[in-house]
Amino acid sequence: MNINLLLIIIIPLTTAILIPLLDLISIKIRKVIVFIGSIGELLVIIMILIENYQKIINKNFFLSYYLGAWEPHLGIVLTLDSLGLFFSILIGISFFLIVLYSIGFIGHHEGKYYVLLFLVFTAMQGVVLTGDIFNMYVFIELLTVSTTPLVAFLRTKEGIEAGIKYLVYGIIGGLIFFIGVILIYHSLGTLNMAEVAANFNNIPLRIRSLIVIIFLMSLIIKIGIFPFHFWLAKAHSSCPSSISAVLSGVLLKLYLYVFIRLFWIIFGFNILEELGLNVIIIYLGLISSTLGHIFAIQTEDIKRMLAFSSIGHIGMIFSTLALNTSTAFYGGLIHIMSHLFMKSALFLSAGYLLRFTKGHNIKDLSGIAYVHPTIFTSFFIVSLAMMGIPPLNGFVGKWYIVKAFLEAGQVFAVVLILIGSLLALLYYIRFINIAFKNIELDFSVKYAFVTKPLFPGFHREQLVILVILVFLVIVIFSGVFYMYLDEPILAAIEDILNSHRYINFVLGR
Amino acid sequence: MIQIYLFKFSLNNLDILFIIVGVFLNLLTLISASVYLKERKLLFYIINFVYLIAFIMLIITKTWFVFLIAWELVTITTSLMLLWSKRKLSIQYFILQFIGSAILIFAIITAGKMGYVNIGPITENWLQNLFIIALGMKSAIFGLHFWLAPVHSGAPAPVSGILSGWVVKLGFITYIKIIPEGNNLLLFLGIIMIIYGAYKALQFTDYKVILAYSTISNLGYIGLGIGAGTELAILGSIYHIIIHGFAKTVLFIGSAYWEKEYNTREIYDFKYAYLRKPLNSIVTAFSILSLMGFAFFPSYYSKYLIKHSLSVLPVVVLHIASIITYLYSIRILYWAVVRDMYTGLIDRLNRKDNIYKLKINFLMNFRHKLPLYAGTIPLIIILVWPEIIFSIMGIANIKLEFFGIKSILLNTLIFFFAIALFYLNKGFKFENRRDISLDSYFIFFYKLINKTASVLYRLLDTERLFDASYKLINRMAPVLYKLLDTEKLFDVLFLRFLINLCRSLYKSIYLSFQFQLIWIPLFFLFLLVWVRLAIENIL
Repeated sequence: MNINLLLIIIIPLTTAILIPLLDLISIKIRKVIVFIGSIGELLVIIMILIENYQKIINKNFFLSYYLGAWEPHLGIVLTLDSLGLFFSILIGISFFLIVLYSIGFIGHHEGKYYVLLFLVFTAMQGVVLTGDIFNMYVFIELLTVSTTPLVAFLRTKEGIEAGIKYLVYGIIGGLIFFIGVILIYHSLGTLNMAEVAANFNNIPLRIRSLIVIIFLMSLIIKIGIFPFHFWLAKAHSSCPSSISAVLSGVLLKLYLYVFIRLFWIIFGFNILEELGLNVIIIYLGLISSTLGHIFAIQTEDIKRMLAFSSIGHIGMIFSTLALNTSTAFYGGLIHIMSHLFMKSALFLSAGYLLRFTKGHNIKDLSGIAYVHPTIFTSFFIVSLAMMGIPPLNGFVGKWYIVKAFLEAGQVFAVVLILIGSLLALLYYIRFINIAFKNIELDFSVKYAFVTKPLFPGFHREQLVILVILVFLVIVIFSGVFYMYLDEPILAAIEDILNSHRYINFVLGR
Repeated sequence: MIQIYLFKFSLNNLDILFIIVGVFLNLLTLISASVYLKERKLLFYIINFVYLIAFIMLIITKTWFVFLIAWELVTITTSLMLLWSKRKLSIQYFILQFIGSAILIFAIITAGKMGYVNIGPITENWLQNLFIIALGMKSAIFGLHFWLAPVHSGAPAPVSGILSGWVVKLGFITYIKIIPEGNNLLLFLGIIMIIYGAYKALQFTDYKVILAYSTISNLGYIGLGIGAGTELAILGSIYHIIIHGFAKTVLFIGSAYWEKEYNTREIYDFKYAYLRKPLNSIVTAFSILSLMGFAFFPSYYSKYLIKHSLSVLPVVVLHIASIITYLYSIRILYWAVVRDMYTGLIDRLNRKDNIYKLKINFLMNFRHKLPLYAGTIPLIIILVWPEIIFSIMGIANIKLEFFGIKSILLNTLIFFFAIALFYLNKGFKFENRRDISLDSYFIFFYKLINKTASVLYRLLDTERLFDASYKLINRMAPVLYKLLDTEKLFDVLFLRFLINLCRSLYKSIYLSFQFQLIWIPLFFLFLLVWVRLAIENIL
């Protein structure tokens, strides 16, 4: 029993509820509350990490909290193992930084924005922490519902269209997920994930395969793999950049977490192999990856380009995980982490730079490198990391992914990944090349950014720049010193590959 | 053999003979100079003394280094002695000899590389040829002879005697040392020099110029002897060196008296020479006869020795060449000495007033006549006793027993043939008074250098080259840019193509929203079928 787990969900939830109430008193308090909420969340997670660091290294870290002191079979249980902690920390850090960025970046309707953003992060942490499959469904629905207004937050035509599309896809995905939950409850009479995992093989094979297919369908829609990628680019590009970072950087990884949690720990990977679905996952992911990079080349919109690039990378990780080896998980988890930071950094810096242009089109970007060289340099370095240039972040993940594919004998997949890297080089260089053209700079543009002081001596713009640079530093350092992240990742892999441990921990055997 | 520390000097009988002859000739010229020169006589004597030491050193040294120094000294002293006539001539002579020295240094360095530390016989043919060319500028070998006639005719008469009588011989003395067994190049050049010198001597009217070209011709005989390479031929060369030394010195000293008497050097102007300068005309006639190789006269022996050791063809050539030799000798003899002998005598006998009688200062007269006497006496001794030279050299066993009647008859026949030719051509009286000087050569070289320099300048005019290349590059650059515009190529052929391809792919995959949603049941169905097949183990 650890109250901290509850705090991880409660802190953002209460902040989200408090914001409209405190707005009645004073608007100026909002930023303070937002800041306190986000940093409190991060501190709680870091506290858990520091307290249990020795356990993580020893690979017997597990925390649980019974809501209302109800035992697992009856009540909802919150659990946190190494895998969950890995994602929880990532979500916490990016949450804190994106909230900081938002304080500087968002200039309108901030009350609604923060409520929705905090609800999104509440749902994310809930999905990671929950031990109940229905509860997970609830959080996923909460995610869909709270992100849809954020997608349409700019109130443009494209934004609203993308929001509607996103909502339809999200609801359909959630509905299919819900059918799966119903089927599980119908079969086993329990919704606790550990109990489901323990008794899953008792279900008849037909129903079992149906359940697996339904959950796979739902997750493919949610992650945006090839046949259902249509919603992703539009949704990720037509919202504010901070929301793009949340969607493309964090939310997709969260669905990957759900994918891992469901298909390795609850259902077991054997059922996928038995049904021959692992092959479909691998090739679907690879097709999605290649198509994502190809789509990124043809687009003229920088944010769409980044979104398509996300499709490529997520597809690659998706197919890598299906290899079911420790190298594959190592590469997959490292690339999940590095793609989170890289994509967030790219979206955030692109969002800053796009403040100085007429639109998102490639033609509008000419000369953007001279507007703010520091930010553009960080954009450039992070895009190098995306291509997989060695000392940086993206290289490590790609290296281990390629290694995993080679170990599995999938040379064709390696070729596709390398072609993807090459295409990534092309489409990033295309934008960077344009950015250096036409030095005729309108200096009135330089002050387009809203620079009200947050408090004396510290402007909003400076906060935005600071957040981007922090992301840049994370990208560089996590690339150079990736070996220090070995312990938590290996512990997470241990959790993934030994699913009975989770069952034993939760059920107290 | 005397050996001096550090520099090896050696003396053998041949060296001693050469030194004796050289010193003797130098004494003659000194006496002559004491009469001829008007000012700065002491300086001349000092320079002459240095020259004396230098050529002695040159003859007796055994090392190339001292040889070089000695020859440089000889060059410097002779060019200084030339200052008594014209400064320009001296400078020109010095420049030419300096160029010769440069070639000589190159040859000596090459010899040193080949291992010839001391002066001695050289076996490599090409190295011998190199030395022939290197010493050619000093000794007026054919091809490098052009300076000789202007310098020897332009110099003061005693200096001409030194140069023509001895300095040009020093090179041939060196040839004797380094070419023991003959050299075809030297032989060939010798024959050419004989004919060329004689032919040139026949064309000029200036007495000293004729003597200078005669020197070239006689040097040809010496070179021919050394080039033939047998013992007798080399002995003949040595013989000829000595005879020519005496005779030419006497002739040049005598030329000063002719010049003083007639204020000109045109041989046609020498009227009543026998009456005016009886001794000089006798000595001149004797010397010329000695040089032309008339039978029993000294040169006949040396030429005979050389001819004796040659094969048939060169001998025939030499006989033909001796016709020309006789012709120019007879020409000098006739025009300078013999022409007015009879009419002059009649004239003198008929006239009461003796306009030809000269007032004679005895001492002056003696100093005038001494070199002529002293130079002629050795020739007379050789005439009487030809073997004297061999006995001085210590070669007693060679006796000149080849005064065959056939050779004498042939020689006489050729002489009379030459006289007949001379008569038929009416004494070869050319009106050739053309000025010979080295200026034309220097102007030619100057122009050549100037022209090559200008051509080179035009070729290597960096500014123009740069200009032209700049223009070329300027013109080529846009073309090249268009051709090699990689950015455009990349843009058009690759990136644009790729982007359009990707766009068409995107459009083909893109579906409208209604149809997008159909994918969900379709894919669901596909998965169901797939799983069904997997369960039935059909896959």
